[in-house]
Amino acid sequence: MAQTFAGTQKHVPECEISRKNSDETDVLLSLVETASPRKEERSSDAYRRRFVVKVETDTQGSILDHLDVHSNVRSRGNRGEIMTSKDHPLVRPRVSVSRIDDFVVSSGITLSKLGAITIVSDGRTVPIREIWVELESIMTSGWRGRTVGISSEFSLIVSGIMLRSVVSSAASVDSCSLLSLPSIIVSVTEVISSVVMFSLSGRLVDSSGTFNVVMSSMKVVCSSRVAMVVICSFVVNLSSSSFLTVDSHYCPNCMENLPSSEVRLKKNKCSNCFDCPCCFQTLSTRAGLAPVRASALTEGEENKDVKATPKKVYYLFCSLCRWSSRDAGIPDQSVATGGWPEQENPHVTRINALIDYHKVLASIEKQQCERKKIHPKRSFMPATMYSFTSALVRKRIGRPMKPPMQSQSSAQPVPSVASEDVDELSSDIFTETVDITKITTLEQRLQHPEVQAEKINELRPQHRQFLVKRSQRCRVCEHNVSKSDLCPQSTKFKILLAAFYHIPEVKIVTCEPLRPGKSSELLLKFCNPTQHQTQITILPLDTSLSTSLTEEKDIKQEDTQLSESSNLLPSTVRQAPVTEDPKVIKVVSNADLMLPHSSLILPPRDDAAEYDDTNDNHNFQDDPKLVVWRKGNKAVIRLHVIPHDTNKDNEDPVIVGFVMQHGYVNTIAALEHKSPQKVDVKVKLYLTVGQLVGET
Amino acid sequence: MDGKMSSNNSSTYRRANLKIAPGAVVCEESILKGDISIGAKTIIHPRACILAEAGPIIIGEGNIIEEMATITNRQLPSDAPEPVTVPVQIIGNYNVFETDCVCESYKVGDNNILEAKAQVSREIELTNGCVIGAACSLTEQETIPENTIVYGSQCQRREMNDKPYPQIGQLDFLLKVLPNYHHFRKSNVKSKPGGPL
Amino acid sequence: MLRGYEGVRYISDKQMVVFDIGSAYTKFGYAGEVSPRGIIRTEVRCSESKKIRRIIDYKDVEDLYQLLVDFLHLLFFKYVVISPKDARILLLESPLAVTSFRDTLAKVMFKHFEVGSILFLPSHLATISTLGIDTALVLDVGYQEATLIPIFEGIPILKAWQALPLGGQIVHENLKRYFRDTSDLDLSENILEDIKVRTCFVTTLERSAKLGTESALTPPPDVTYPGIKRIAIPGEIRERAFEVLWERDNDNLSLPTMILDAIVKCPLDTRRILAENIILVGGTTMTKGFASRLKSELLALIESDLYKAKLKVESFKFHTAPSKPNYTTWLGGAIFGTTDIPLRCLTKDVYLKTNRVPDWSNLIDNQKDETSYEI
Repeated sequence: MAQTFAGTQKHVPECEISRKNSDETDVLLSLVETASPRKEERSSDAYRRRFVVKVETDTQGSILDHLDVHSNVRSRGNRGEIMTSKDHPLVRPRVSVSRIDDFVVSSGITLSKLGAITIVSDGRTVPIREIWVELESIMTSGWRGRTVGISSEFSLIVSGIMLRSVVSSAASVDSCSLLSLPSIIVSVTEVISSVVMFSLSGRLVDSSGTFNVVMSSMKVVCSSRVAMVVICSFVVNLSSSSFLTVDSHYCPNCMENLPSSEVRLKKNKCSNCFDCPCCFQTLSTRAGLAPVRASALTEGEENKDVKATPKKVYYLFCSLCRWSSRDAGIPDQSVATGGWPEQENPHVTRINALIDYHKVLASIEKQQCERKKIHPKRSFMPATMYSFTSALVRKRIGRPMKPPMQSQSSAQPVPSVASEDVDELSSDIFTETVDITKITTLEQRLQHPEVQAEKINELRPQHRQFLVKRSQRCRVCEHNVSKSDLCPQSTKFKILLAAFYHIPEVKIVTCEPLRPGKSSELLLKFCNPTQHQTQITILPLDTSLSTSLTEEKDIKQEDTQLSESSNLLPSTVRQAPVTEDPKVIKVVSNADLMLPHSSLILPPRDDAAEYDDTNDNHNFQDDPKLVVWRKGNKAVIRLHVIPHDTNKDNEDPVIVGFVMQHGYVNTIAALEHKSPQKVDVKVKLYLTVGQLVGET
Repeated sequence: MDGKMSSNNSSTYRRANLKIAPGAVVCEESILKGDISIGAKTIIHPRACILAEAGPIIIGEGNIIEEMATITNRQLPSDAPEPVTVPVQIIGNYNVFETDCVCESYKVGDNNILEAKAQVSREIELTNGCVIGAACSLTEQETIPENTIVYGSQCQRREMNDKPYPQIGQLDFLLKVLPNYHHFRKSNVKSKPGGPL
Repeated sequence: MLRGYEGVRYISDKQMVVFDIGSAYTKFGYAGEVSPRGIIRTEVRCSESKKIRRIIDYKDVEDLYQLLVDFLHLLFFKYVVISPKDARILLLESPLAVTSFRDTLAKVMFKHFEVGSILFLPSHLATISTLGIDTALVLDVGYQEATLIPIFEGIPILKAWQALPLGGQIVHENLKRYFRDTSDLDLSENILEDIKVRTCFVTTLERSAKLGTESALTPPPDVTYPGIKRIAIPGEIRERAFEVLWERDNDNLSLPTMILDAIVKCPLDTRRILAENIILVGGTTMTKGFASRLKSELLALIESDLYKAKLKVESFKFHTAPSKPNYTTWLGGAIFGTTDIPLRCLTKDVYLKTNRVPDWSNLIDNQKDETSYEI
């Protein structure tokens, strides 16, 4: 295998990225972006770079789980070989098959024997042979070569060229949106459901504030509204009580960042980048020499230039479907950027006249209202648009039946004239053969609503839409809970209060085969991400969260008062929060959980201890029945699951639920309050532990 | 030379049917089975797979066959009627078979590109200047008109304005670079005057 | 009070966002612009099932709520790119549409996205803004149904409303049935739509009469539809796909009778004017040959025994809006939205207080109380 690659690897720059070293990142990205995907323009340096993918993770072994997940996916679909390390250190999580379909639908990765993946785990490098990661349907060109950082636990770098050669389907609407957003905070949800394979390692909380952990496949797909669950530390508040605002606009292709006023002026579209009208990928600008013969034949003026020096001309080209601006008959440009002809809407003047006319009508109505001191009742009936133009109302208020507007408004445009002539069906249609490849699809037509061209060669490139960076604010106190860096290239955050960093992580390690009415062992791993020791207690599912809610409420009020006094946001500014009805949780637990009698104490996270092999178990007095294993801030506990007898013939997966109560130390609010506050937070968790096996 | 070849029998049999024109670059690690003729300047990467099962495969000039690409003259299904003549698979000039594509087409013209993971089955004739996009597959019998591009997940089609440019630069580059790292199968039709040009 | 982070919001505050959420396609854009920013399918990846689902396929109100949250999220942050908080929204809605949909939509807008105000504008009325006249008979043939409301001197004649389940959907079903019966193909809705748009057309009245009989004329040429699997579309089906819109149902109703019935229901002195001011909107009316077929059907019907006694109208005239018919209604909304009309909007405060959306069909909102207009 090594020999196989010898010829090509030489030209492959090592695509390494390290979160700690951002400079390296930049180098990598720029390298990738300069390379054009098409072969005839590929420089020797760019050759074969498409095969190199490096994945780095610092979550212990999680990548292995994911590769494993893939192998399952792919062997189901019989699409390509998978190579994963067979001797990876973790217990393989079981994959619940019901979720795999989702996975295939939303995206897919085929691993075959090319390329390179290196897994860095716990500071050791675990080589997993060479693998070609092929991303289908989830990459749009705008996303090429960018870092997909997922909750900063993980990053996946994909070189642009590879993507070109394997992107076979236009990305679906959803995946487009996620992939064109470099900043993940905004789109974590979407990335989870699309790039799935590279996981959020069990840290998904749904909007109602409950964990919704689906056995191992939770790493694959979880409830989509997962969103970034954020914690507003000012009012210890889990759940989706945040709203989004648009922060800044940028072009996903050229990464230009524009102030919002200019964005409005440009109708939200990038002036330099174009989308292919045929397959909706980003078009690239290509240089070529002016075809001498053609210009000599057509344009006499240019003829002279051509004779002197071969002129360089530019045209637009799509690397997926090979549409080019020459196909559409758009003349080549002599400058690389801009200058492309714009299509004007032929009705602009007419519509503007109509708009002016309506403005005049509205102002007349306003004047009349003021003069007569009448207030047109808010009309919810599909009644008149302007009270005074309607004959009915005029009659009622005793004015002449004839509309007054002729005399009053000079702005009235020529009214539309109806005609008896309609577009007749041309008789050709009954005889002419149709070449379907020359007729546009509805999608292509709707890409440009003003024109909706019917013939392929009438399509014109469309300006690329800007995307936005968003920030999240708490609905109650309007504090920012997440805010990304303004720079479009950056995937970092200025503020990130993700629950990920505050709520213990729960992972399913193993679960014995489940039989109705029989007890099975379930091992759960807890990990404390905070800087404070926390106590985790497992309570029955029917524990009302209300006790904790009242507790929380008390604190909330206290907090509000305090923050008001600290003059952070005067209460006058703050609007009454709009409360959305809580989302109904439809998950029903169909198994009993034998609850432990003791609770579990987790020490704070200690980054240094990660690399320390010495046994420092802090000498906790653990209940040996409960705690199976412990290291640093992590511990595995043993629980017992008894699936109900009732769901014997049921195909549904077994779901158990419980309430996890953990101590949470609010340090952010402590900045204002001097002393940190301790709160017990209760969270509902549902675990899908797997399918029932037979009676035996 | 002759005596040497007859001494190791299995490879002799294979090589006897393998005709490599001068100037072709055929990597040692490529998988070639059956009666195959390879034209000048054609480049066959390591791990490329050419299987002449049902009959001979004739490959023209200046083709690039990348690794994992498979060109098969597949055995007809057993229930099919016995063909009158031996089915010959003919590949024209300056085609590109990208990584992991599968080509079973009995006739491929010139200047076609099969992108990565593309699949073309037996009953299809590719004329000239066609592009079969990444992961697109063609399975039903037809003749693909010239300059057609098949692309996207729905295998949409369009007629291109121009045919794709021949990959001259790429060819030259490979001709220069590949010898530095790989062993080759020697060309063996030097002596024959009627070999591929 | 301007807060720093709200900069984006305040600037765009002046412009209303205009949505026309149709059952198949959603048109969106800003008021005062000449064409929508985009037209997208009214569908979204369901957050629970992870499948692309159409909004109209909702199971119950809760499901609809969730779908709309997902869909509007997509609209606001990917397509319209505006902070929804306190935005001004103009929604075009058919006065004949489902109330629960409209209520849920308002709930999502106000409670989840906290928009500032919503202006519900009846789509038929909005359409005439694009013409510069105030009398028109508006026939909207969309995906699920065809609806018609005549508007005279700016007032909708609600009494004469017509609606039939004739639209893109029934054409798709027609095509689907054909392919299932003849070639045992189960084609997806999207492919059927594509086949419909690219190959099918509305044939002429004369040819239609002979269709299926022995004297049928030579059908148009067949079309081969390449793709993953090749589909052959016979010329006959190309011609017949749309016939279902013109066939009389059990009550003897079809598209042309809708127009005539509506005119019959209108007062005598308005009839001729309405017949000479017809405007066709909706994507289905863009089909090749649609308007000419409608006209010849109307002219034939008016001579038939059915209407001869009831209706004395000689000619039918059609308007052309300065837009493509599939977004004419949106354009009407966009023109109307430029005017300053705070009084007609439903604001967040009012909604949160009353917790309901006023509606014309509800007596609370629609009592005969016009005192405010009296001098």
